[in-house]
Amino acid sequence: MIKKNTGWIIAGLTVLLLITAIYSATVGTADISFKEVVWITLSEVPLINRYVTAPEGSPRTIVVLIRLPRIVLGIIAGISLSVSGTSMQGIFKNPMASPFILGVSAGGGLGAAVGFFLGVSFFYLPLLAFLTALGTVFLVFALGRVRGKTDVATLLLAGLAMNFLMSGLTSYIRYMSPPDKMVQMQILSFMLGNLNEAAWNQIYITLPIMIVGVALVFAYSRDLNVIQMGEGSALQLGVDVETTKFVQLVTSSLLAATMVAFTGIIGFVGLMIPHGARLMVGPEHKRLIPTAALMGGIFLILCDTISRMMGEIPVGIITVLLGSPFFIYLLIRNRGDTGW
Amino acid sequence: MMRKITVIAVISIMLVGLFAVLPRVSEADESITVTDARGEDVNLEAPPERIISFMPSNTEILFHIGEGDRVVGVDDLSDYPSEVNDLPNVGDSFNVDYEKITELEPDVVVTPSFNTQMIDYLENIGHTVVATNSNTLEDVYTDMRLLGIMCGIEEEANQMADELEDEMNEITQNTADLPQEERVDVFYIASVGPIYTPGNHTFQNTLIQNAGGNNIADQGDGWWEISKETIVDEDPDVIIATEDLEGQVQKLSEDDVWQSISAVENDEIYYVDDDIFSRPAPRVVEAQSTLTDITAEHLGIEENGEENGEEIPGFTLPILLASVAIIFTISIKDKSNQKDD
Repeated sequence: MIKKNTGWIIAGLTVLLLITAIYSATVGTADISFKEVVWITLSEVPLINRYVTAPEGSPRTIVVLIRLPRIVLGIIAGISLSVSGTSMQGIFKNPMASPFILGVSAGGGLGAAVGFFLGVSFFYLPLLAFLTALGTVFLVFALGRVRGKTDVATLLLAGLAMNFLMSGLTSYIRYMSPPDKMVQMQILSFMLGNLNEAAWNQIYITLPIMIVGVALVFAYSRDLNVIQMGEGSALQLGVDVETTKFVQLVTSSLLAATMVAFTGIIGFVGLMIPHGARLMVGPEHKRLIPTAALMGGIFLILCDTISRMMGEIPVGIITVLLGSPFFIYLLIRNRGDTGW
Repeated sequence: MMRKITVIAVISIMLVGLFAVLPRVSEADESITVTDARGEDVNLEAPPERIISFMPSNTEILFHIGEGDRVVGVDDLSDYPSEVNDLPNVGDSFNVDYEKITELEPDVVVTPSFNTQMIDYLENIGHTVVATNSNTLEDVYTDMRLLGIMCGIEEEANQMADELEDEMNEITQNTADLPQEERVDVFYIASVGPIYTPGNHTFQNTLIQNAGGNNIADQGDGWWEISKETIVDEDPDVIIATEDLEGQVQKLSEDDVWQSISAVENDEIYYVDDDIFSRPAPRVVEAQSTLTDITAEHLGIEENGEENGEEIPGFTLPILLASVAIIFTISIKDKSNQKDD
């Protein structure tokens, strides 16, 4: 373990995130040179744009309105999902916990499926998915409340049950939708996650939620560490376990629900990235959360770049295909020392 | 004084008149407003020089009305006419290549109206979108007129649409209005395992109806999965399947249950070109006449339309003579039936 070098790791990951983002902006079906991409991007930055003249026309549209929002949304999604996953794993003290464990993805999936089935406009679809995702989590919370306290084991099982219920309903809608229309494909695309239709107005909504959410999770990171020793000892150490659990669970569900609403269900990132981060910097949450956030951002834009290179394969497929072998590699290297 | 006022008045009236006329003069250029399938009024400064066609039927219509040279990009499924294959592909509805679309700098993107997600995104990044419905037989004519207006050839396109409609009516004149009991039971297979079939309110259902057929699947709406039990129960006289399913349908028909179906027993399975039978495009004429030829045999009606489809076994002279005789009886019967209605 290289805990002492956390500062360097975080600095390195930040640089890597920038490099990946810039590289990603130069990849696509349209033939736009590296130099053009850089000039166009710089010309969009206030102050700098006074000194930059960039090409107009279609290359500009492609870089500014297609590639950049996609990359930024990818970073936001990567950060949100990884941080949400880290928090969930911390609260549940379970390596199988993911942002979707309380039914966010299945609930959002059902909302999206209903939306596609009814032909709800593109504008209201994320709202519908968001509301059903949160509604599901609310139900799970209600089921998980035992005598005024949130019982983690009950919560886990309630989440499992709701996941099955919502997925079942989604499958039913998918099966019932006519094969000649887009509905089945749209639902499938949502289930696999997609950054293909990212737009700036989605970023205006998701970015503030991400910032507030990550800040909240980070603010309670010390309490999260203490909870790892068991809720009993946490109470003895003066940690308000109930509040910590509540804030962490609500915040991470909100982060995940927001991302599901706008990008569909991008799997793997929220489950595996926290493990990868734990292998790098250890289980201490003050280090773990920023590391996981940066790794999530890098990983997701990397996957989305590959998805674009391969002709717009849904990014959720790439995250799993690329992430799993990497994770297995990490696992083999660190057997018995996974930070748990 | 009076004169001065008069002069000022005259001059101002002239100026007002001039300004009223001026915009019209500049508008007298080629600007076009087309109301598309969404009911949206799309304004174009001029007939589009660069069109991206995002649906095979739209592509076929654009080429049919003689505006194919304006098409600069098509979706992956567009493959007719053959010159389309040289054009850049911009993805399919599932994976739209927005970069490629933008790079081609189209004046307008013609899309199917149901893909609202794609339309919203395209407009968001600054493209002009004209949406078509491309579902029913009527849509062939509607889309043709709509795209005609878009290309600034409204009159010609209307005329072509009328001609196409006339041609279709001619092909189906003897079969379209047959009473239910005289119709041939037709089963259309669009996919095998699960077997999907076009029910009511589908393009294929209309073609079958017009050809004097009775679609055995019309109790369901749209496309649906039909069970073996229903197929056996309905016992179709004719099975129409798409060419790519030939091997699979043959395999299926070896099954004992399938052997009990009249169409299988009598070897009345016809394989048709899926593209022609599924696209609401001008080639619907070929689909309709192929289908009418198939049903004609069962209805005892003289073949209509142009060339026979290759799938249809050649008529022998006696059958031909016999059928001519039957037509007379049927057409008389037909007329009396119509009066009954």
